[in-house]
Amino acid sequence: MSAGGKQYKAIGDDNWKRTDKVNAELFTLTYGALVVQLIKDYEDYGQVNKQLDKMGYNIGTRLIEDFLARTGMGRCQTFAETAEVISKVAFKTFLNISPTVTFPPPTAPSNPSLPTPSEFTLIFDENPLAEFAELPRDAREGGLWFSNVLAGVIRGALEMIQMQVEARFVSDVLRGDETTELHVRLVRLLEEEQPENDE
Amino acid sequence: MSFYLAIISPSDSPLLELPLSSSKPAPTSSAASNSAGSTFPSWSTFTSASGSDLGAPDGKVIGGNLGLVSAGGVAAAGGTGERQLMQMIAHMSLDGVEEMMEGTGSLYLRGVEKYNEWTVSAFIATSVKFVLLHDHKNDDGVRQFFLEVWELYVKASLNPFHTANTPIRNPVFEAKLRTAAKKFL
Repeated sequence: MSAGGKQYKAIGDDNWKRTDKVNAELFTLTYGALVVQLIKDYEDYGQVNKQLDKMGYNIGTRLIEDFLARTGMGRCQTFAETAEVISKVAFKTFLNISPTVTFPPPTAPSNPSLPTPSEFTLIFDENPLAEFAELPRDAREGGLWFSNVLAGVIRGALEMIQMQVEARFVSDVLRGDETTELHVRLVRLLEEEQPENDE
Repeated sequence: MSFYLAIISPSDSPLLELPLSSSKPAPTSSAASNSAGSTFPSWSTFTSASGSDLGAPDGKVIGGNLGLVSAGGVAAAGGTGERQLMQMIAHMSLDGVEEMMEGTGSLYLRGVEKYNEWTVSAFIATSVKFVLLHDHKNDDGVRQFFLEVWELYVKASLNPFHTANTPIRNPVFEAKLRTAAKKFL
């Protein structure tokens, strides 16, 4: 897998070099303003999380086309390969970060129809979306996941390539945890069907 | 050595006030270098001050409604009385700061005013002013401290959850200010 890893890293770096760049502070400030406005509008942190996830889903369904066109990669053979591609190529191409992939140890009653491993965790050591943000106390207690849009993006993108996954944050440095971790779990492989309605 | 930092918004309302005490020993051994409370002169400045000092300068809003009634209790031992006095000194000097600001072009104004044993220095970060009260001369350290404060202030105001020109209540910001104070003052 390490040879494939290096290759993915090279593809990711190459894509990043070739794309147009935008000012990082502008991007961070825009996302921060978006989250704050959502909080003011909905006033319920659970709803804000849901909306961020929906927005991410809509972004993801479109982003996957852009990604496949840019990289021209073929089908991944295993879900583990998918995880590697997401972390080394996709995140590198779009956000210039390389989260680490870890696979949790397999639990005994795993679904036999799913490829193993069927879940992975991305660990972010830097998060450009939340560069200067400090959560106020009631946001922390209310359970806000500041970067929840990323979970939606992964869910939307993978759904377009016939994988239904569940993506959620399990810890976030903004909330006072030690690391920022995003957990992705494969629910089932989809047959060719009509795409889900945009919400 | 003790200090008092105030960050003042363009509409003259205080955004942050922070009394500090330095870990470095005082260069002169005149005042006892204990905590911020005990270095304050024990005689009340109000009984001996001239009437003009007590009156608030025109057009200045003294933050926090401290009033002259409570300041009269400064003669008693330390605590909140001194803090209000320092707050008042900082705000009274704003007039002098603005005068000097129009004179020079530099951002750092040292020794704007002297008030008994306290010197007031200011730093104009475009719209926001940092006012520092200190009792010993330490120009370079104060200057570097102001630059640090400026950087920390910019980073704190980039926080999407902070509305502009409101009081900054961020424990991380305060902790960083204190470490910066220990480093430079």
